[in-house]
Amino acid sequence: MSAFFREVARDLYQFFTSVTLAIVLLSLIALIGLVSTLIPQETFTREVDYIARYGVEGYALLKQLQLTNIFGSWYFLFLMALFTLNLAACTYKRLTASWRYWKLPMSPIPPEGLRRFEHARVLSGAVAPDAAQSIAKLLRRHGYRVHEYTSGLLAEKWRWECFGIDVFHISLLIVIFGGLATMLFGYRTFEIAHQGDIIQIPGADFTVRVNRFWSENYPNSERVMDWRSELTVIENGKEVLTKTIEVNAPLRYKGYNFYQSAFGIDWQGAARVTLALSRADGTELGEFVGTVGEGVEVPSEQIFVKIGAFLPDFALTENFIAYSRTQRLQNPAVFVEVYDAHGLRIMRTWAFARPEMQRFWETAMHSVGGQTPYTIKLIGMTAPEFTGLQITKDPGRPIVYFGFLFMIVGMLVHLYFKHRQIWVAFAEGEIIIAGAVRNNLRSFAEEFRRLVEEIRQLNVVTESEPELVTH
Amino acid sequence: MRYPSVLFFYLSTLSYFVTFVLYLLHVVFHPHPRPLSPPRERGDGGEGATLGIIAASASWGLSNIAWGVWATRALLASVILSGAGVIARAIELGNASQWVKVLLLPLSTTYETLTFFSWLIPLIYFVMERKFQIKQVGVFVTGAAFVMLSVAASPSVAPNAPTGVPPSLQSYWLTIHVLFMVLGIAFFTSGFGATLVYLWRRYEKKLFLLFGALLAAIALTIFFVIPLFATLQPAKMLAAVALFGLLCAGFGGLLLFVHREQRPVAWEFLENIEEMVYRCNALGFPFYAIGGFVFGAIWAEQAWSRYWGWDPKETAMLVAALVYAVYLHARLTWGARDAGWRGGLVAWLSVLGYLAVLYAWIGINYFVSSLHSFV
Ligand code: HEM
Repeated sequence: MSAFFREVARDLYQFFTSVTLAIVLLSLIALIGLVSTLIPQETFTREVDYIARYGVEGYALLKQLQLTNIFGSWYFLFLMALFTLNLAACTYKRLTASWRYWKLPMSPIPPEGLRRFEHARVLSGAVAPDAAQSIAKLLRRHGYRVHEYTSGLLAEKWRWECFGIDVFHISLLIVIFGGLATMLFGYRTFEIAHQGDIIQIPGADFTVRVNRFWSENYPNSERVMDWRSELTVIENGKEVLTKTIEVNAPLRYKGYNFYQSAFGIDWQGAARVTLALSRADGTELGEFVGTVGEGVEVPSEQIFVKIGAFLPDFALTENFIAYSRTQRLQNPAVFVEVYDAHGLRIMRTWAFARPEMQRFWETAMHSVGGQTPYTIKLIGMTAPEFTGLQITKDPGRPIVYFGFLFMIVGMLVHLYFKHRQIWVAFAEGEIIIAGAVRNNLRSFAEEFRRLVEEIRQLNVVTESEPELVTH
Repeated sequence: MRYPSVLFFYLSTLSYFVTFVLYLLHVVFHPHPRPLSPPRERGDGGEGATLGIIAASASWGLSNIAWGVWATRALLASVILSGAGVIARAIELGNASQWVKVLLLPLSTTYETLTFFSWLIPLIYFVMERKFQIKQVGVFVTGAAFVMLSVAASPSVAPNAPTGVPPSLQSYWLTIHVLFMVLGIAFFTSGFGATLVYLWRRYEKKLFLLFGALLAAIALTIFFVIPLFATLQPAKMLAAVALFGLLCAGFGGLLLFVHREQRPVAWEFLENIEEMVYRCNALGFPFYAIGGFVFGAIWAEQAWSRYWGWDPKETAMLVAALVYAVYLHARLTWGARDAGWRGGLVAWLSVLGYLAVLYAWIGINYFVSSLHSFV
């Protein structure tokens, strides 16, 4: 039984340590990423925009396949879990290999062996008695650690670089875990705040007051230079900190972060509209002002006009759901319901600011037989400005940053340092120099050539005069 | 001319064109000698001997001119000219933005990115050319710089007035992030140019066929498969999948066909180009990956409150980095064992990686809206 388990464990280990698996997983993750760039994802897209683009059925299909939230889909999470295991197993396996490499001592190689190296040179001639010292000095000047033995030299540098790629792979694991910590224990919310609002943060022992917010334009220009909000942290009834935040400069306090994330006019949340009412027979009833979500009494008629929603840029989906295409005031519309004295709804309609929309809507309503007792027009609207604050709690932050540091160090070490070894052997009438570099870096050939040239110029061998041969 | 930088960039457009022609002449008149010397002996001091191969003189005039040398000089001149433009642009942008509290690179509009690239890509290539002495790649690089500057010269695509930088871009992390990404792309571009030369050298005329087929497949995918699929009507989706399968099968078949027949090629030279491809990609990767994952994430956290949000542009960049990671891994594992692999499928991975980079850099802007869509 235990033999069986050992076998299974070994197979699993082999499965998870294979680079082929890594390549397959990376390719699949890449493919999913590609798909996500072609199909808009839920986080950035409203339902109505999906329906406008794919139709009701298409949207339902996409949703069923989890293609609208692909990074939360079970298949993506499954792949990520596999990948994390793969990475961890590979890192472990490679780390042991690196450790073995690190421990492997450099040992003398007989001249016949050295001659067969890819990078090898023979300097022949009478060898000077101090050759070993002067070559060792030269190599040390080049950063090599040199070990002398009776008939040669062993020199090497940058052996530690073999851990570079391990550090890099570990950094990926660290970042994944940091992200997981944030996902599991973090907190994020988006608040729309008006001047003077006090924001409560669940789980925190302080509140934040929005003192004021404003935007600045570039001089003589319509372009926004900065959006700013001035926030005050209030703890136990005392003001402890006031900071003006802007995009790229959040307020950070006790592990919570406050970002300047939106700015604008709060049409949908708090528009204040002016409505012109008239009876169906054309009798004007006057103008009334009310706020979204509330309503106005019309005492003369004993009716109550409820203002349900305000859309700054009215549009309809194919199944007649109204939505706001943008947040700009392009086609403002307000949804109103009229109740009689008993609280019974007697009509509901959209009222528009653009006359042609109003006419179009009235004709459409008439054609489907809707006979309304009142005509309502939208003739004015204002809304307060708001500042949008993104609020997060992010316990994974230090872990992730630590991982980033590892990532940079590991990658740079791996790319720009390669373990080099030089063997020098002194034999009768010749010096044999051989070199090796990890991963067989090809530019080493040139480096080796130059090194040998420098050694040659030390004049440690006296070359015998070439004899003139005459035919 | 209201802005000196615009004048500089007009001049460098011309100068890149001249450089392009010079490189073209170099390729035409000094094609590499096909059969090489017998395999070099071990320990003869490396490939120094194979580096400076410039074709032997021919009998008539034009090919006696060292076009390559002039091309490199012209390249240097063009890089200096467009570098002056970039500096002028940085000053103009600083003035327009009131020197907002951050160190700014002129990278906030399409015009600025295009012109910046047309400086940096050839500059990086210049360095790599010095190192590897492979001048054929210059045709692609200077051609690309010329095209980018020509696009930048069209005011409807890329208005050239410097404007104030929006609040979201006012961060030195953004500058670092973009600089790294741009450097990565510049190295990848040299690597891609070298891959083209490599594949060209290896397959010669068949490559026409292959690239023609690849371009056709990409065009068909963009214009037919994706729109057809996006309709989400089952029948049409099926047709799209079938069409895509057909395209893949056709292209794969062609690839296998081209692969099967390996002509005796000048391996020395090919290996040298392949080394250049690898070095470019391996140098570009850390810039691209660190610039994207690390600095991009740090900046996104400051500006948008999250490191990573699967925003389309971020995701596309991840895809591109992953393809290059696959390239690096594949070259290390399969490529180290077998030169055929190294030059074959691994080289195609390098092409795929660059296509992914192009998609993340330019293509994505036409498919989806994204927080990043200012570039
Ligand atoms: C996002 C995921 C990964 C990235 C970005 C990545 C990146 C890299 C890079 C850049 C290299 C260096 C290649 C070179 O020397 O040019 C490398 C090497 C390596 N990676 Fe990964 N890697 C990832 C995941 C993995 C996984 C899951 C495995 C496990 C199979 C793995 C195993 C290896 C091995 C064995 C090497 C060889 C190192 C050497 O011999 O020098 N990697 N990786």
